[in-house]
Amino acid sequence: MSTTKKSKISIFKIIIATVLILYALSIAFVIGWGFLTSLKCTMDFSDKRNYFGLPNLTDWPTLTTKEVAKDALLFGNYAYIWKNFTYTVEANSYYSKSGVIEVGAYDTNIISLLFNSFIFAGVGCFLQALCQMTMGYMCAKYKFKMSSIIYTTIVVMMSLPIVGSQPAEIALLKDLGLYNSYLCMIIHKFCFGGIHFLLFYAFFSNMSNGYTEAAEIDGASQLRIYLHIIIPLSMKMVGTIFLLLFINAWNDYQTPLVYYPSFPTFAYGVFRMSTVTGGTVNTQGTPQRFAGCMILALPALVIFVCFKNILMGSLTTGGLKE
Amino acid sequence: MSNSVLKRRMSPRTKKRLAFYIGMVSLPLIQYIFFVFVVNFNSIAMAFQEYELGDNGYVTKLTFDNFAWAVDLFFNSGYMIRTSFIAAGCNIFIVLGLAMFFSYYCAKKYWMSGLFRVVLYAPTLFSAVVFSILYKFLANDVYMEYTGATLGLFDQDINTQLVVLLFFNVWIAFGSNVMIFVSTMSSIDVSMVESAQLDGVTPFQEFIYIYVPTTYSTLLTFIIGQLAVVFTNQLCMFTFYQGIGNEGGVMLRPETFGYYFFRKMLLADYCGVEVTYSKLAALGVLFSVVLTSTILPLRKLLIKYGPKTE
Repeated sequence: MSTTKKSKISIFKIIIATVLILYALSIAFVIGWGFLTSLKCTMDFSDKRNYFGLPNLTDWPTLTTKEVAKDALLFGNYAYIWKNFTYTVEANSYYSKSGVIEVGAYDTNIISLLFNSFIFAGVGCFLQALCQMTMGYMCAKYKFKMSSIIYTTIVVMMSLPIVGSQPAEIALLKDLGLYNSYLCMIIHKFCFGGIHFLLFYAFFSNMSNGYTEAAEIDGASQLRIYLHIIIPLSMKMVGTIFLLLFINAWNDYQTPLVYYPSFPTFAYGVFRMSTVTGGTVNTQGTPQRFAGCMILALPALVIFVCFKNILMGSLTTGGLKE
Repeated sequence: MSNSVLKRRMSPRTKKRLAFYIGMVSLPLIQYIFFVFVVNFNSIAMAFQEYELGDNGYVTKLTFDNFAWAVDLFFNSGYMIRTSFIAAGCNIFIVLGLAMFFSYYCAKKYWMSGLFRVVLYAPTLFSAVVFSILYKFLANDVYMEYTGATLGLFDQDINTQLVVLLFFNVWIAFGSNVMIFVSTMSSIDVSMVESAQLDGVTPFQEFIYIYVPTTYSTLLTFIIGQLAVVFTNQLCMFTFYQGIGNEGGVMLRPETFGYYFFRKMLLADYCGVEVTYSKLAALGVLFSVVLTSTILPLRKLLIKYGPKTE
């Protein structure tokens, strides 16, 4: 009897483990293949169709081509993308209540794209995490009527499947002159709601009032309590949510494309790099494009490696935990 | 009496707290009201408006043409509806199904579960752009090179393209859902699992009779979430097709409502274009009405007839 049970246990576990191994191999293969390709020169990859082999360093007719292949192996494509990737942001004109607004075409480079990504993902997500934390704290610890109205509204709005309001949002932003600007990027991100708000709300609801009450007795102002007690106590959770938001925003190219087309992020630059050959986007070939992909993936990867325990740990107990 | 009550309620401490509260919540609240209420109200208003360019900017007039257009499009787009629901079906039955099995494996801390959790999270770390670039090259150039085919998988008939797209979307879909399932499964009462084990349940029975019912509310949230985005899910088509649709195209491309909506939104304007903001607003309102009228009752049914933990 027990033997039968053990064999059943093994089969069930083995099936899932096999599927997971195959899945892990497929992910590792594609990422590894992309990285390996980014270390090849275009001639090796495209002309010689060396799709899966190691970078070819020997079989070259001239010394120059051999040098090119060697350079590619030493991250030459990465250096090329860093130095030479240029992208022409298209001219943009649109109607707003104040008349026609024209934004001219201009050339951008990787530094400019990374700067936009920094504003969008770095500054924007930091503000968003702070805003979520502040609103969670306010609603949990300041028992005014408005707090319960805000909490109920968030929960109700989360349960309603309201979709397709982006056209009206774009029209409204254009009317207000906010469309296609850094200000819009910041305002967009300075928001609260959804699961992150609820997590902060739960976190502060479970937090003892002892700290704040003691500080109040000692004469600390509300702002002082917020700055010197609440923020430090919730810093780990703010940091975790910031990292999760940052990874999502860093990889997001569609939001900038829709709302701030004249301020493309690096993710959008890589998207354009993959879709346009020559013309407005200056890349040589597939290995360079793959190098661009790897550069895009690098910050999220570094963050994950550095904060793996926090990120994975934060997601393992109750969605997010402090 | 009322004044004394008021005075008691508004002590100096309360006043200070209220002032601080107002100062802190004002800006986020204005943002929320604008981006949630004003935008959605504007969406409904725009659905009934037609814009015309006058000497001093545009003028609006009341119209029902936008809804007529949206209803006509919706009921004459059988293929887009079918594709959208196939995508939702894949996400619910394949992705969530596999995610439940994977999560069970990880939550039970079986062999190499730590590594698998990292691998399952990996697609979330990399942009969909990165994976799509690599995947498209494999599905087109490498496929042609090694099979001798004259066309890549993304250039074949519409059904093949859809299958290739669905596979990609399933492939990169495990991430946050597995993490949340693992977290829910990890919080299951150990004594319940242990007593079931003493009764001699197999891991499969344990999964079906303990883990599925106890994580059902989380699963339900994901199912409802997938249904809520049925008309906005692009299936990463914009990343693969760069906004190319089927209008006048030589090659037929699979298309969901989400992809159609997104690419039209990029080309839309107040007036003077084929699809205006007003028409898309009407389509968005129609989507919301259809979803609200189906999802909320469906949710109740799923709660009523779903597995129970008792």
